[in-house]
Amino acid sequence: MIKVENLSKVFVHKPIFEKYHIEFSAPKVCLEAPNGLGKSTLFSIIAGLDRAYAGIVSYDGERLKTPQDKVALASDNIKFPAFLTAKQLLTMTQQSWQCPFPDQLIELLGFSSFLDTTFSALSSGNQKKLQLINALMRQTPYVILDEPSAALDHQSTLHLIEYLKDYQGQILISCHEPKPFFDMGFVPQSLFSS
Amino acid sequence: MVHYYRYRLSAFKVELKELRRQLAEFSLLLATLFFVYLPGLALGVFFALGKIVQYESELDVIYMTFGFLLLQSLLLHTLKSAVLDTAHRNYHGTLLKSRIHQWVADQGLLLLCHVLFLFALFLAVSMGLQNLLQSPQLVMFMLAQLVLATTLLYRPISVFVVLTVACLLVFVCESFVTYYVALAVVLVGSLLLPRQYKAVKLSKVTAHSFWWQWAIEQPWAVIWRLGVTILTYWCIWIIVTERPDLKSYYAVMAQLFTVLWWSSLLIDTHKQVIKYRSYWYALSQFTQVQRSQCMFVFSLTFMMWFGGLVLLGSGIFELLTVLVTPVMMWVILRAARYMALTWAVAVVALMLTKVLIA
Repeated sequence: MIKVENLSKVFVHKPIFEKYHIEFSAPKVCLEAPNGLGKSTLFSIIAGLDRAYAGIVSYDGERLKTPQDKVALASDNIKFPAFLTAKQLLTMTQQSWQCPFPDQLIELLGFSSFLDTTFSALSSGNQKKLQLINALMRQTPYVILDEPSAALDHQSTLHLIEYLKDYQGQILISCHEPKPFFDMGFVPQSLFSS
Repeated sequence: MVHYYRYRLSAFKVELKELRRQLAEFSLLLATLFFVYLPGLALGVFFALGKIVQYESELDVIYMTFGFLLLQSLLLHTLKSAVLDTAHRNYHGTLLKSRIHQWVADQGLLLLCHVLFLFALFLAVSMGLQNLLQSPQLVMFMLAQLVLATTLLYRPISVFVVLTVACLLVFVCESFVTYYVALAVVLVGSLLLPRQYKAVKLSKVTAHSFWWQWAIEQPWAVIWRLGVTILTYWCIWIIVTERPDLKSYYAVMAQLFTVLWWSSLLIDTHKQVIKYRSYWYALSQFTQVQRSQCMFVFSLTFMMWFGGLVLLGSGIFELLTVLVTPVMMWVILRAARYMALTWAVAVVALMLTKVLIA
């Protein structure tokens, strides 16, 4: 369970969150809100990538010094070094977190033939696949997927949903076409409901 | 088509203005520090061209040719995107029926900013046809200048190959005709190389090897510094050959310039760290990559600095110059805008101490 309390966050002099509270208790949550209200910012904060905020974020009641140890995030907010190949990027993640190389995921999302392509040369759909593989391969207790189906082809979206069904850990997503995710068991939760 | 040429000229001016803005602070500082030498710099160009026209040994022509070709390539590469209007190259296609106008505009703008060729042209015109015919090496040199400049616009990889071979041939050739012919042959041969540079991919990338992969992918950041370092040592070597009594001062200055060129590489690497900050955080490698960029920059600076020591000799002040590197790096990481000032303070402090002790 992820709990955010008293969160205040200002972005370029504009307050995004002020004394904000939210709790994600369901194992699979789909966060809903129109564009530009701060979903991606909240995800970056929960994943420990954005430290410029005031408030408390706890993970199963525990406050983490380095949340990225336990939270993996797939988001456009993480800019990959454009000149590295997909394989080099995945190997970096493998070495950094001592996890196995994600052959199964690569196969599942039909990404095998793009491993030697540089990130900048990948299509937007393949960049999204790489983000997803990069986050899911770590098998962390919490995984956050920001717009996982955006730019993804229908077949890959179905494969992804199938994969997420058996994922051992809490999953947070944001999605503008959430129906297939709801069908699989994701629970809708509004960004400003609590 | 006048509208197209007018557009190219205004795009060129806009980009030059931006470049001038970026370099303003640093140029002003260099000009303030070395204002005594500025008139000498322009005269130095004519002095070097004069060495090509009236040489004592054919080797003089070869040395000068290499120096000029290297210098022009560095200068023109900086201006290349302004000359070609690279950012809007596709847009040109929407304005033109024939690519010939694009080529003419490219060449016109190239000539406009090819200062070193204009210097040589000025010299050739003032010599007159009769004298010029007696100095065929100047004509060959100017031809090499033009051909290499044009090649730089469309096939920079060929220029890299030609300059590398030109550097090696300096130690081999004894006749300038052989030198120019060899360069022409290499240039033609290099046209067979693939137009696009294809970088080697390291099999494993870590926070340390990331910088090597970055340098392989974007070699210009390293190549221009290597070029400027060779030019610096080349100039100082020529000066100390003429004035061996001033060797210790010029050697210290050469080392200080080398430290400046190479420690400023940290500005480029730090941009990468900041750009991919969230990525490094996601990997929990942010601290490691910050450290590794410092090691990468320091090791390159040290290598080049050591090369200078071997070439120009070592003394206590030459050795002290390496200590400026960590100071420069510290300043770049905290407030890069003070980099030039820090370097200037280091130059004044070292040179003043040297003069006082001497």
